[in-house]
Amino acid sequence: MRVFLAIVRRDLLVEGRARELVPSMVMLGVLLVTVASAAGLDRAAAAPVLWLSVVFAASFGLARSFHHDLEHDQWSGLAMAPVDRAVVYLGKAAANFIIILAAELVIVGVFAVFFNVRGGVVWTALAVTMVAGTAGIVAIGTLLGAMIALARLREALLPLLLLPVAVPAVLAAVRATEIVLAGRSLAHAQGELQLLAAFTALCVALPVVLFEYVLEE
Amino acid sequence: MDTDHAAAVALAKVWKVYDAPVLRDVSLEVDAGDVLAVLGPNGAGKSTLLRLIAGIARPTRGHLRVLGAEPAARRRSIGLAGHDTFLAGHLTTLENLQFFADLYSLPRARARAALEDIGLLHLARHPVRALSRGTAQRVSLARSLLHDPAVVLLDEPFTGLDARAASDLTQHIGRLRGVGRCVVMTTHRVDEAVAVADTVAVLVGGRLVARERASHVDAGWLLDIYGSGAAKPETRSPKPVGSP
Repeated sequence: MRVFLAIVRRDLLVEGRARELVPSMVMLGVLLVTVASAAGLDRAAAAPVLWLSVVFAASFGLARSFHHDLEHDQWSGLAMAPVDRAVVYLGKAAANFIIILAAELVIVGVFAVFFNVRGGVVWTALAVTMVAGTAGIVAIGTLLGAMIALARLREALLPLLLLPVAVPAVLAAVRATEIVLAGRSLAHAQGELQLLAAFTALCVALPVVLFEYVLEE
Repeated sequence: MDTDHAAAVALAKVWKVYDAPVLRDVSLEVDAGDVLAVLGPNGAGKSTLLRLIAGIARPTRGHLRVLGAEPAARRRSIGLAGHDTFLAGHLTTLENLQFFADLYSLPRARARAALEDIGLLHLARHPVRALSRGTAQRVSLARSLLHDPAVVLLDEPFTGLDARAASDLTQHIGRLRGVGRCVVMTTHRVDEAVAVADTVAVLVGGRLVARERASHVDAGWLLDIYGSGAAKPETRSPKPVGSP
C-alpha cells in the first residue's frame, strides 16, 4: 500500500505543479463538445458526444502521462525498484483516473450547458456512470500507454489503439449515459454498469500479469 | 557458469541485441569489494552493460548473475546512477528521495539523511529541474545509494562534476570499496578509471577486448587498445576475461 500511495502521490504532485494534462484534456474535450453542439447535434446524440470527447481527451492525457516518466528516465527508476509490478500499474492507473476525472468535471459541466442537461437528470447517477466508464478506459489505457511509452508519435498512436479495444466499455458507458440523461434511474442501466465493471476487472487483471514485461526494456 | 565462485556480478557469454548487437559475447566477473572501471568509446555498449546488470533489460543470450541470482531477484541489492537521474524534475530533491525511500520500504527520514551526507540538505526544497547538472547528479548518486546496495553501478559518474565534487566522489567510491561493496563504473577517461578502480576493462564495439589491473593502465595502453583492438578485438584480450 505504501508503494501504491507513493506512486499516486508523486504523479498527482507532478501534475499539480506541471499543470499539463488536465488543461490539455479539458481544452480538447470542451472543443469537441462545442463543435458537436455548434454542428446542431441534439439531445439524442448527447451521450455519444460526451463519451467521444472523454475518450479522446483521456487518450491524449494517458499518452502524455508517461511522458513525465520518460523525463530523466524515471521509468528505469521504477523498473529497478523491488516492488510488485502490479502495484506500479495500479498506482499509475489510480493517478490517471483521478487526473482524468478532474478534467471530466469541466468537460461534463460544459456539456451540460451546451446540451441543456438540467431538471430531471439525476446528477448522482451521471456521476456513477462517468466514474464507471472512466475506470474501464483508464484500466486499459494505462496498460496501452505504458506499452507505447517509448514509441514515437505515441500521442497519435494511443487513440488508434485505445478506441478499438475500449469499444465494449465506451458502448456500455454511452448506453448507460443515455438512460441517465433520459431521466431514468440507475437501476435501468444495471446491465451496462455490470458490463463496465466486468470490463474494468478484466483490464486490471491483464496488466497485473503483463506489467512486468511492460516495464522492462 | 561457475556457480561456486562467489562473484558479486558475473556475466557469461552475454549478448544484447536491439536492432544490431550492442554487446557481444561478454564474460566478466566482479567480486565484492572490487571496483571495476569499464572504459570504451561512445557507443561501445558501456551503458547497456550496466542496464543489464541493473535488471532494466535482459540479455538476449548468455547468463547474468548478481549475487548469485538473476538481477530481477536482487533489485534491493542493486543501485544505479545512470546518465539520467531517474528524478522527477517537478519534485523537490527531498520529495524525490522520499519517493525512492517509499519504493525501497525505507524510513522516509533516510532521504533527509542522504541529502545531509552529500552536503545538499540546503537544497531539500528545491525542485530538481532548477538544479545544475552536477548537483542533480549528486542527488542521483544519493538516490542510488539510499538503500545501501551491495552492487553499485555508476554510469560516467564524473561527468558534469566540478573538481571538488569529483574528489568527493572518488573518496566515496573508496569508502564503498572499504565496506565491501562491488562497484562497476563506466567512463571514457582513463585517468578517472585509474584513480578509483582496481581493475579496468575495455569495451569496443560491444566486445570486451581487454582487462587489466588499474595500476598497469595508462593512456598509451588504452590508445593501443583503441588503435588496433577495434579492428581485431578478439586478439587484443591480454588474458581470458573473468580470470583473476
